Amino acid sequence: MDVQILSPEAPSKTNSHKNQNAMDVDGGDVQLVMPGETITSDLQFMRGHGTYLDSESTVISSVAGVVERVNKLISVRALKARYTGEIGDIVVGRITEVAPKRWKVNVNGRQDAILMLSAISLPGGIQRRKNEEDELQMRKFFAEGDMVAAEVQAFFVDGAIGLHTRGHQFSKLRNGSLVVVPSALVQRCKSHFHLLPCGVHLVLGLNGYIWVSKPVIGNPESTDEADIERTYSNKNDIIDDAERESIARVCNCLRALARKFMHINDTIIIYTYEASLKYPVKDLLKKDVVDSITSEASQKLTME
Amino acid sequence: MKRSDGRTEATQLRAFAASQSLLNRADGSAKFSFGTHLNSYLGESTVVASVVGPAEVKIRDEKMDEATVELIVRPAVGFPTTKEKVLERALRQTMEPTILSGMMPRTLIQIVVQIEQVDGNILSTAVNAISLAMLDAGLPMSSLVASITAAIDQQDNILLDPSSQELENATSVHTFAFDNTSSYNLLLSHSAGAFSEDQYFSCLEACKHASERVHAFIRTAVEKKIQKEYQQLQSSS
Repeated sequence: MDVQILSPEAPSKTNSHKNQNAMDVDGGDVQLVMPGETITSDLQFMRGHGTYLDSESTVISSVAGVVERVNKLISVRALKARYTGEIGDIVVGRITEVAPKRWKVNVNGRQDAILMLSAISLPGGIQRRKNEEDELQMRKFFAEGDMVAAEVQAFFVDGAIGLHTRGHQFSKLRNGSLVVVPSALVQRCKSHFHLLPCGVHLVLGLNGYIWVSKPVIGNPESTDEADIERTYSNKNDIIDDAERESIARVCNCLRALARKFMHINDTIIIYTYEASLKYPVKDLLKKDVVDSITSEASQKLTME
Repeated sequence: MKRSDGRTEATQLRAFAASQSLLNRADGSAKFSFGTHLNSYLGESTVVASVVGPAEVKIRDEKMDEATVELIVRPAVGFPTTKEKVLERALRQTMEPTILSGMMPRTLIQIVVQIEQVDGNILSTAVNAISLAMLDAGLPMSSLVASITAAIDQQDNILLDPSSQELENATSVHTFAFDNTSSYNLLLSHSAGAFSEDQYFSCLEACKHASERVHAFIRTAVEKKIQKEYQQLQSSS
């Protein structure tokens, strides 16, 4: 994503607010704004994200992006900003710090998210209050550097995200690798946990962190001794070469999609994966291959 | 008029070049240069800026009502010296008021400026690079900043975008930064040397006029990129 423009004499186009009245027209072409540019001076509109009001209550953009309008609400979305959480979002994060009764988790947000000790599930699904003993062995659950899939439960007063990992689908992540994409690319959908036909498990974190792994074996809810042990284990299962290759292939497909700035969901990933099969994994990030597999995938998507 | 590096006009600027998102681990990054390799008879001033943030802040630096802005300047060679500290201070005072830091309290915004090549007016190159990098990072800003340097030579000519050779022979050097609102608010005024009030104000006018060109350039550079990304995003959903 590299734009290089050379212009000895840039066209002396002043930053005129050419679309000042574009708000009156529905649809039409997209309106691009830069910080400091007036979006509308009409008082009937409300300001949303990415905008601010000046002293004459003119709506002014605060980021570079495309103006979006829902009824009377005007917002500007920057395509490459940090993740701002919403309650119910599924995120993937990395533990950065073990603090009293809580973990700090990096979720690509503006502050580290907080995972309280009381918000995790105990191995084997035992229901009980966490005691001092649990607090002393917090690193047995999550230590610094561990990956975790979690749900946004609440916001703290200072704006930090509160996470929880109750329920069988949230767990410590292992057996795979992490792909980081811009968070705007991952859309909210019914499920963020997918088992692809190629035998690869995906966790699409809404914060742009995607976990690609070998599917977890065993039932996380079982009370079997081995399964309980496995919940917070740090040991990877044995992953054979074929599985490693498909994980790597899915990872590279995700990177290719992110490079072309396309929305990421399970369908497009499957299509891209299928299109990528005629190339070796290591070639997938070459420019022409990226172009060909992503365009093939988006064609398939539109044909539906 | 013939200038030392081959330019023919006192108000002629060297070609701008910019690229965004060139560092993949920073939230936003950009490279800005005055003068490019394409016309190599001109010298070149290049700066790479990266922005990380809003991100977790150390408790020591935490501000309860706004973001902490940290600015670090790395020279092309060697360790940062007093000169870089002066530059850091000037840059931070220019950029900080444009960041809507009240929108992101208790966070850190770290801006790192790496000087790559110096041929005059490094301060304005850095301002423009940081502007582009902040746009790339999607930070909320009240306006965009663009900066231009002017020098007054011994014959009392105002030279815009001076090269280092011209700076050596200049009697005074002035750097200004303006925002992109219709009132062209002055955000930075940095002068060195001996000059009269009239000279100062004529430099200010010349730079104000030239900063429009930088603003127009920044807009075209960013517009194309956003438009392309937005279209791809739309077509894939």
